[in-house]
Amino acid sequence: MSNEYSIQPPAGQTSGIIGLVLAIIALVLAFVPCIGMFAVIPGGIALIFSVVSLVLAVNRNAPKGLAIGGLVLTMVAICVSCAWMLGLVRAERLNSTMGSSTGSSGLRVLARIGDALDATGELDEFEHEELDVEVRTADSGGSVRLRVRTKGLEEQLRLLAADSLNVVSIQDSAGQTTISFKSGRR
Amino acid sequence: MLPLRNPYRACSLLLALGLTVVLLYPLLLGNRLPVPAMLSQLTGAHPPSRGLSRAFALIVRGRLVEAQAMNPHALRVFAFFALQLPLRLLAARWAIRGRAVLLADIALSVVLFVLCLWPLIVYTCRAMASLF
Repeated sequence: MSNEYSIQPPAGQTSGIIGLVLAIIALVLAFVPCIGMFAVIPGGIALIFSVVSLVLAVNRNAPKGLAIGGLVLTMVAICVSCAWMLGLVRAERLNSTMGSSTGSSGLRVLARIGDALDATGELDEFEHEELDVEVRTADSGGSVRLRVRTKGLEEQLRLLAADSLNVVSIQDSAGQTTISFKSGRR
Repeated sequence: MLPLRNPYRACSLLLALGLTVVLLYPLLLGNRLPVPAMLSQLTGAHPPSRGLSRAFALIVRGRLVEAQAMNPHALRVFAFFALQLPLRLLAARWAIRGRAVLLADIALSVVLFVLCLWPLIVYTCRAMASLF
């Protein structure tokens, strides 16, 4: 006489495992800047599997831990990934609507004069050679956000970091763009 | 023998398979890596992940100095994936020992993730903050 028994996994467990694994993969990918936007692919698949797992687990009164874990991680991954896509769409729109000018100093204009802009970054935490600077034109009162090479300018900009930078003049000649700043309180 | 359908064991083995792909694909594809540098092309930015794929291809070939020059964070990021592979295999082996192993694994993995990918995490968080 044989004892027969069946080992059936709890309802939704297989889907939950797949969902959780894909969610972890999506989460790791989401925090890698150049490929973060692609995390939405495994994230989307993970979302489907996790939802299926949760529905099966709820219907059959089975453990829901895997499904909930997968859902939480995948939502975080999808949010970060979507934020990357939004940022890239905005950057592409700015480039296509107003073009960009890059002088030999590596300057690129990122916004129109008069746009509402964010504050500048903190110089001493900047790892790369570019800095987003908000400047206000001396005459019109509008503002433009510039990305400037900090190499050679870092020390001067460091001294001005607490202030707004008022553009006194912009000269563009022979491919060289020179911007003169004047420090001023906001 | 622990059934394969033990969820912790199954997750660990599937992740180990994914990690193997991540570690092997630069070796197989060489410089023909399909990851586009869209962020750099559109914004002119130099994110900390720039050159990471090429650096991975150099690391798997043992050219560590060149990899470091290609991307200064490459070794650190690669270490995360390289360390996770044996950790996943160990976790699959020890899954039977219960909840303590699971919690320790989660804690260790989170710490490794934060430590090894810290420059990328910081850059991502700043980029997200600048959107809002």
